[in-house]
Amino acid sequence: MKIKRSLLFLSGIIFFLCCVGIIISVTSLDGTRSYAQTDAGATVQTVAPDKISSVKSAKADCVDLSGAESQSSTVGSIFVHGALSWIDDDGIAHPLRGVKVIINNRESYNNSPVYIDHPVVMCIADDNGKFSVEIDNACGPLNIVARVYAGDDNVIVKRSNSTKDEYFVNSDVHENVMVGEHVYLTVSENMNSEEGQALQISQALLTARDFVAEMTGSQPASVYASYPGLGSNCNYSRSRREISILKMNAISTGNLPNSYASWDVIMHEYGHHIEYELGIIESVGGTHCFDENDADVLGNKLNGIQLSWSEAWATVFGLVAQNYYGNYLKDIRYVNDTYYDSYKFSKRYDIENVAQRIYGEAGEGCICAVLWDLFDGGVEKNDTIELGYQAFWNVTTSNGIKTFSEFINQFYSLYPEYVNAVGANLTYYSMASTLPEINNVKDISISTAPTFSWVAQGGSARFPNDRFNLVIYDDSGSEILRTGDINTTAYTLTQNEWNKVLIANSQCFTASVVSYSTKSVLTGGYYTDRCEKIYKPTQINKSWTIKKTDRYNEDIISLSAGQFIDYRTTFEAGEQKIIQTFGVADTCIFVYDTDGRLMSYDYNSGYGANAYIFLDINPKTVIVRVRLENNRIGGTFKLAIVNVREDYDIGCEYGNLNYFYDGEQYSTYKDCVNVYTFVATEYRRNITLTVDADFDSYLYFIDPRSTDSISSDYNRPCVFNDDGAGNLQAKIVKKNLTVGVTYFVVVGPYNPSTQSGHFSLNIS
Amino acid sequence: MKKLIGIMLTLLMSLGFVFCMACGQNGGTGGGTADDPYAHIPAEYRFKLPVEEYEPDRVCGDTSTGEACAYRSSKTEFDKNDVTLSFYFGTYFVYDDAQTQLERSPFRDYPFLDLYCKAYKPVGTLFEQTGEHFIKRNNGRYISEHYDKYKAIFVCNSHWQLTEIIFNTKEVIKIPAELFTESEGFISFQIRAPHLLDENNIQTFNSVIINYRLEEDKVIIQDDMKIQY
Ligand SMILES: [Zn+2]
Repeated sequence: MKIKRSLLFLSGIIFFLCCVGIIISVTSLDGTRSYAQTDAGATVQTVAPDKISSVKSAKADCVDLSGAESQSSTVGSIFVHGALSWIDDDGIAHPLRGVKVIINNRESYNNSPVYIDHPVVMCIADDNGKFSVEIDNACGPLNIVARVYAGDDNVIVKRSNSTKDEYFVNSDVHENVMVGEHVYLTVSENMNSEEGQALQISQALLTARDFVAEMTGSQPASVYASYPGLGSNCNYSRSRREISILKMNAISTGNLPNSYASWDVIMHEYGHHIEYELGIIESVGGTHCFDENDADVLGNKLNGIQLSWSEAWATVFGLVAQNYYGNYLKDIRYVNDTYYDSYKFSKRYDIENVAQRIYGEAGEGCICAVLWDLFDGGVEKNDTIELGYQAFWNVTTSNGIKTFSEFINQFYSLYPEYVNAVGANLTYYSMASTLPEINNVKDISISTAPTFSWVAQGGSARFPNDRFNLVIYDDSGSEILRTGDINTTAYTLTQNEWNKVLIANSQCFTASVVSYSTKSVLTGGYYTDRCEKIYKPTQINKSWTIKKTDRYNEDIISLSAGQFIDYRTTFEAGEQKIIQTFGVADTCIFVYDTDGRLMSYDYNSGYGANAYIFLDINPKTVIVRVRLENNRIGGTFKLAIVNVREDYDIGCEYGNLNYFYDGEQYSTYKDCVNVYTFVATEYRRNITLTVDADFDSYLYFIDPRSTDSISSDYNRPCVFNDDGAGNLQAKIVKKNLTVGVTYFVVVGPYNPSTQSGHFSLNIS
Repeated sequence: MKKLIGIMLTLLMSLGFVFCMACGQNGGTGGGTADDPYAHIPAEYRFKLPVEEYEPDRVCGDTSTGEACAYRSSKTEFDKNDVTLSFYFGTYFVYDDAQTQLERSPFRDYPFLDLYCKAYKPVGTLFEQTGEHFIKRNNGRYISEHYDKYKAIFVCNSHWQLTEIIFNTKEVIKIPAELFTESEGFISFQIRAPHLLDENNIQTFNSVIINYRLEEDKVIIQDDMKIQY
């Protein structure tokens, strides 16, 4: 990623002085005199541009003011090239990026240790710590010396003395540089001096500033750092626009940076500056730790959540900015990683794996961890979100949010698709409650609603989560139901709520808890992730056996909306089966093997909206699942199963079942019955069916629209008969049949497993 | 566990200590005065901190560790063979009931708390270890067993500026003469909580540094007291 220094400076050169004798811009430069001991003890005097205009004017005519020896002057260009670096505590050199460089012409006087440096041109070092400038209209020869500052005009490191002098380091002087010449300068400063340390501080600050400029598209307000800072800690003063950086070695004697090398701390302080600029801070200040609940510590919830937010954001800001410029920073120890490394700490603080997860919305470390995970691309257990730089910036800095609670609500509104995805982390770091669990998962049924429970969490002993809503979702994550406010950590759905869940068009449901902390200021609601999918209950896991001796089996069930029923069905006989529903409800049937594999299903092949399956397979046990086709309504149906024979020429759809022909001879087969249909007509509305068989026969006449159980009463819709015709022959008398309805007729032996033979069915 | 807490509570009460006083807002009973709720605590355990002028818009930058280490000495010049100092250490206590404090202590899971003195010499802008003296290992769930001893009270003023840290435990330690090897160096008094299974995995650590100068057989320390938090 290219650092956009162009945002800050329209060109590398903002002014030039010399023979033209005009000072274009001077106010941005050091407005005072600075002194530093360099050049083997000689006093170098910097003359501020605004105080040397007369001198400069005097040079307009190329009068030699060097005071050294008289030289003939010429006018033309001089080219100055520089390579700047700083050397870290490990001895590794890094380019000094983005700092302001002023090329001075040093006037010296005979036999005097005093020099006057006249600014000639200013430029900004590039990303490699290099610069090249052309001094136009130079009155050569010049004594070229580059003054390298710890920052630029927007962000700069100053001494903490009363005059707040800007830090700088001078290059060697190149004397008598003639017009047309090229000068090559190097500055390489280690950490043994405060100047060198200030240069490193400037690198952290400029990185932070550049990141803000990249994210916002404009240069943030200027700020300066004072070093060595006074007092006992590093801080940011809003009124002075001053960042104070202590001069301190790492206390841990272990693996941590000295203060001037604590980029995380320096950029954190710069982050506070930006927080004020963006209006996302309302901080009381005060001592604070990563691992504590600031609301508990301060005894004030609002102060606590504001403090923890502003501190956590500032920390994560610094780490994200380092990450943005990671290619430039990768060989600097303690920089561009997931650790907050402070000279003041006793160990590295890993915000990717915050050890103390119990402090929630007022826990600095916990907020850092959540924010970092939202930003970063790591796919971790609780984190599948990667916002990246700009989106992360936008969602954390807009609309003046000043607490984590305000942030999360803003996040939810911008990223509704991530509401639950961020929930795992919110639970992990204690902002949200734990995932809801169903206590009675084994017992839930249509009439027994689930009882959910969770742990409140919230991170605070004094301001814990104390109000909740339970949200139930369908398979696709759409919300089915949201309870009212719950003031405990367990809740049983009311029957009405449970019905709403049951009727939703989804086999499973999931749940999450939304937590609020209501004491003092209201915070939340923090959503948990969704719990694991829970299958809706089947009303009865019925088991039944279709015996060899059975002629006809039926079961009548009423289902509430959304409910289904699984019949674990064992067939004693190995013949084909007809499995169908009767009634007016729109039902469907699914047949699974005992491993759950779908073997067959049907929606509407039966009479009307009923389902009909001819099962031409021979497993011992199957699961016959029946439900209403529309999950949002309830209904009653009858499931009927008969054993039949394939060669009996049964069509696959209800309408194609054999009509029977009056008096025709049929045969039955072992373990099976015969099935027929009969369509009532104007002329055949009142009928008498009789069986003439060489075995003890049995007869069923089923109205396919009815869910009435079979009865021996001919006046009922579904009837059976054993010996009505005498001599072990069956007979049914039906009156007032409905014209056009296809009735279902079963004929079989009294005991299909022992009897079979020929018969005829007579109608009159 | 319940019983243990009960015992600790009794113990604490009998000591006349006041719980919770991170930032000392709920003031105290047990022997203090309205002006100074901690007046009953011996002065040597109390470390007053320089308090800067209050600025309403100054944001405190540094995130603290929550643990504190300090030392105190009645003199700054010692015979090399008898450099004896009082060390104080403890952790930040927030809650006023023992159970909550215990549950929420960052140290509740640490199996050991080790005390060390380590010696260092400056090397450029960094430093290098030159010696080590292991003082002792506190076994067991240290924070549980030594709950009352391990608390430090962080006292704040009304602007939440830290004004004082009050310890409740000290170790008087004679630093072995062989640690003083440099003409200028420092000794670090350290508390370390290693992981149960991995001694090199330090779960918490803090230290206070004693800068010294060696003049023949005399050890001269730079400060007669110092606190790190
Ligand atoms: Zn801060």
